[in-house]
Amino acid sequence: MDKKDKFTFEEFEAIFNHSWDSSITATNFDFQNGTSEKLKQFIKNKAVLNKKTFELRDSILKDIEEHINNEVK
Amino acid sequence: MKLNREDKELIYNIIDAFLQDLAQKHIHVSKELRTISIKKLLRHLNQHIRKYGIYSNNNPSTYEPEAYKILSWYSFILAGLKKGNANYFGEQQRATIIATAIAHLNRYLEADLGAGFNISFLRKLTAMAITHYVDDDLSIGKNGVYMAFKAVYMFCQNKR
Repeated sequence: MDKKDKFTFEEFEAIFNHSWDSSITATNFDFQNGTSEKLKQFIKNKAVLNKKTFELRDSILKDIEEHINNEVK
Repeated sequence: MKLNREDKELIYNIIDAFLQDLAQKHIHVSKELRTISIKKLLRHLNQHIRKYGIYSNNNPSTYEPEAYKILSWYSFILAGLKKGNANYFGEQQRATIIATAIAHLNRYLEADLGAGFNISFLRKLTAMAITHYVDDDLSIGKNGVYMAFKAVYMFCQNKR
């Protein structure tokens, strides 16, 4: 991603403020929604961006790309 | 329903990490495409809430986003973007977008539960997800991928 094209929180918030319908109200309160605190921290720390994820992604893709290439042939 | 800043940051961080990973695979999502895809995500989230309601033990005036839902939906929306009648991304790029999301979702599951799906399952899930763009009958869509991860998370939570 180019530096000028870097995705920022401010850009996200501007889109959010323009698009989110805050008039919707809650209808039920009997079931836990949301994201666990553990996962929130994982996401906040961008811990997903590491070698383990990249290897997993590439391993999934390798099989799929072979499949697509075989279909093209 | 409002989102507090922390929850907005959660959605932002999910999407930002995902886009950074895609950039490594040479898929650069422009500001224009980010705007279109995020608007579609938020619109879909609003429609979902209108249809199914919100279930929360916490503050009923605040919406708490689910990470599994946000990334499953966002990846499908991004991969399916159109330029006129044509797909914006080719088949290989769509495969990369979906595979990257599924790898991230599996890592989320590992962060939550200490374990995720095995590689055979993830490959099958990805193959079925990519087929979504060409054959509805043989595929799984954004809700199916979300539910696959959410279901196993909920099941393990209930067992504890």
